[in-house]
Amino acid sequence: MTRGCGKEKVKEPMRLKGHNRFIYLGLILLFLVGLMIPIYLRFSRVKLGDREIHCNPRARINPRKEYHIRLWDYDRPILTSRDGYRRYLEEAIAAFRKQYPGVHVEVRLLEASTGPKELRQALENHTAPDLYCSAWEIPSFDWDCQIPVGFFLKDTEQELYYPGLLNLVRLYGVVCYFPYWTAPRFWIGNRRLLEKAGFNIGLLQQSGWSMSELLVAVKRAGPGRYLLVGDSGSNGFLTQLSVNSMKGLEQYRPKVTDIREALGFLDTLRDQKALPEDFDTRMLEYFLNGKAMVLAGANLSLYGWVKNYLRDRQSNVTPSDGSEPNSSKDNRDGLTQWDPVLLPVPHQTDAAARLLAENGVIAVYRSKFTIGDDQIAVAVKLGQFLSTYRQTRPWQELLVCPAAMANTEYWAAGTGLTPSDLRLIDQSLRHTSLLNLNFSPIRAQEFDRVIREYYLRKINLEIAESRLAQLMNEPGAISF
Amino acid sequence: MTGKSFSKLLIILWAVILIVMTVSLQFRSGIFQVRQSALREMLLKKDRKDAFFIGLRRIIGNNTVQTKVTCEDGDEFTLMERDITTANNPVGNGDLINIDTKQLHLTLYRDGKVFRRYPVAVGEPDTPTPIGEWRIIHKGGNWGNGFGVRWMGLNVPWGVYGIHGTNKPWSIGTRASHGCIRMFNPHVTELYDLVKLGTPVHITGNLRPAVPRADIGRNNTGRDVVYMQFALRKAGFDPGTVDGRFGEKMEQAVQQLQLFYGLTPTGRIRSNEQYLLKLK
Repeated sequence: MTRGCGKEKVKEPMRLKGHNRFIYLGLILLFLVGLMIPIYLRFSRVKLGDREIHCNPRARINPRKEYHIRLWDYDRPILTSRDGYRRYLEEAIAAFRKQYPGVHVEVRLLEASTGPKELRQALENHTAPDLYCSAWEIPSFDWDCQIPVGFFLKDTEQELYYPGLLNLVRLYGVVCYFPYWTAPRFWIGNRRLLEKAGFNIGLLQQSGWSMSELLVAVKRAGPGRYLLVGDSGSNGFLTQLSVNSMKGLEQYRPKVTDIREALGFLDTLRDQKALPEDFDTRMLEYFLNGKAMVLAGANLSLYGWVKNYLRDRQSNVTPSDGSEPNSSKDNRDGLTQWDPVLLPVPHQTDAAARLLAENGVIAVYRSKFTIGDDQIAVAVKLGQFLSTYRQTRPWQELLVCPAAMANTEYWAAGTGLTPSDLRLIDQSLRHTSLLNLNFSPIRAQEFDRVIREYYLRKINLEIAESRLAQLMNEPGAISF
Repeated sequence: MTGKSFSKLLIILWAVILIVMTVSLQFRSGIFQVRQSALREMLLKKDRKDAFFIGLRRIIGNNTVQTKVTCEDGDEFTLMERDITTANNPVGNGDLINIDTKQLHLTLYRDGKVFRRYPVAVGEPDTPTPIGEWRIIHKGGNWGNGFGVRWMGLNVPWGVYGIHGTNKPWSIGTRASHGCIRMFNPHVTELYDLVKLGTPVHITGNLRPAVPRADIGRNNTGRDVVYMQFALRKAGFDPGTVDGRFGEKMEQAVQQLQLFYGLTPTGRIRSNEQYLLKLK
């Protein structure tokens, strides 16, 4: 026992000594870790405006690592084949995986009516996808989860996109989303009536036209014909005219004066009987039957539809969809025998032209499923790949323009657009300041209602101005 | 009590029991003769719409979904339909009835495979069988001689249409009815036992063009709505079931169409939308 106790007495100080050594080592380690954390955080943070965002543009993709990326996009069922868009995405991802075989992408296609809400919920719960392709709007920048992709891109990589589109997705000078596609709003003209009114279409497409030039055409429209018809919604012709009345190129914030000017223009059109009373609800009827010179505020999809409709009707054979060829009096009188032509939106003489557009963008998010900054780097790479992917089949069918300049010519080949149309689109996207008002369908309807009530003199100028200004200045109405 | 009067009493008792059993059987099979006679009377008065909804209300009782709708002729009323989604109601599972009005046959699909096929008679050219995607909302029997031994009512919102038997078996394989689907009595009896309430009934064939109303939106019903639903589907915008009801799903489809072509997404079909859907 005594020997045993003696042994214990000898061992005890030694054990304490070792224990102390571990404590010291642990403390040193803790100190080093404590020192490294701020250094690490400092390196993996970027500054956007006056706020810092957790983002590490230096992160590199590990070619031997397996990555699981979640991608949300919207189904586009109107494509020729029902699962056409999913197949297109799968092809694009397969092409990406040739370069990065370790990347696995899980695609989920959302419905347009519920998708934005699902994204908002996912962002709140930190379960957002790595990549989100928007349906038509630019989602508000999420300061908690979103990665500003511009920090990952070299200047030469940014130059691949149309400058107008890049400007649209900049926040504090940094590109925060990948531009994906755009649907700019132009005007469509009746070539026959415009030429009869003395316009040189080629010149008009090249150098644009002003509102005063447009008003001159009122008198030349001819009896029984109107100058213009168009949609009166938030992206309709009145909004176009109001943004084109603005002086300067600052971020668009509508002023009462702009709205007053646009409503004044509407008054002039009404007084000169340049606009039928039902200029919006029956716009296609007037325009297709040659009774209006211009269809204002149209996207390229509508332009393509008008071209096809007139072609089917003019061919005087059974249309491709099997419906009866038109034999109305208007058709027999030759009112339908004309070609549609794409036109720029008129602007105030001393103001720069602006183009309203709806956009698809790709946003990159961090979530609680994100494992390491290299996963973000993979998501950014995939977003960049998709937004510049040469195959533009869906965009050809939907008649929306791809965001990468190099793809435009290739895209146009499958759209039926004329070279002059293409030139106008290309020049507009390069040199015109674009605006996406991000109007929700409900707000667009309200906008439409105010315009109609004002036009029908149900409300006066002051009420119309204040309601429109309120609608346009509500949070979320303008990008970011 | 004498033996004679005792036997009389037994006969009366026997008759009472027989009557009670018959009546209870009738009730159990969901046939309300008293109500049905009123319904038939109204049908004879050609007040088909009222007859249908009053009859339906009586038949389906409290388990209803009420929707305010506007008919093609502008009449507004409350559409009462059996809520076939509630747990208390048996709902068809994996079954689908397809009625081909060109080939004049009815096919029951079970889990995507042909399970039964029967010859049928469909509507005359002037009173065609309604093309669309309906559901069985009522099952009954012995509506009257003309309706044969069984009746399966469809949720067509503008009239009384159903699959039933017949007392004119020679008409099967022709276009002879007023829009209903006639079957041989043994066939309809078999089908009746095979399918449940809520089973989808898809009627295919040539859709007669309907003149669309100038302005149509949520909660409108009618033949022109069916026509628009098919047109929306053809254009690539899913209006949901083609059931002649302008519901939420159809409104969303119209909004998608409007957004796609850059129009204000009102969800209503007016002149512009009619052009875009090639209805004009």
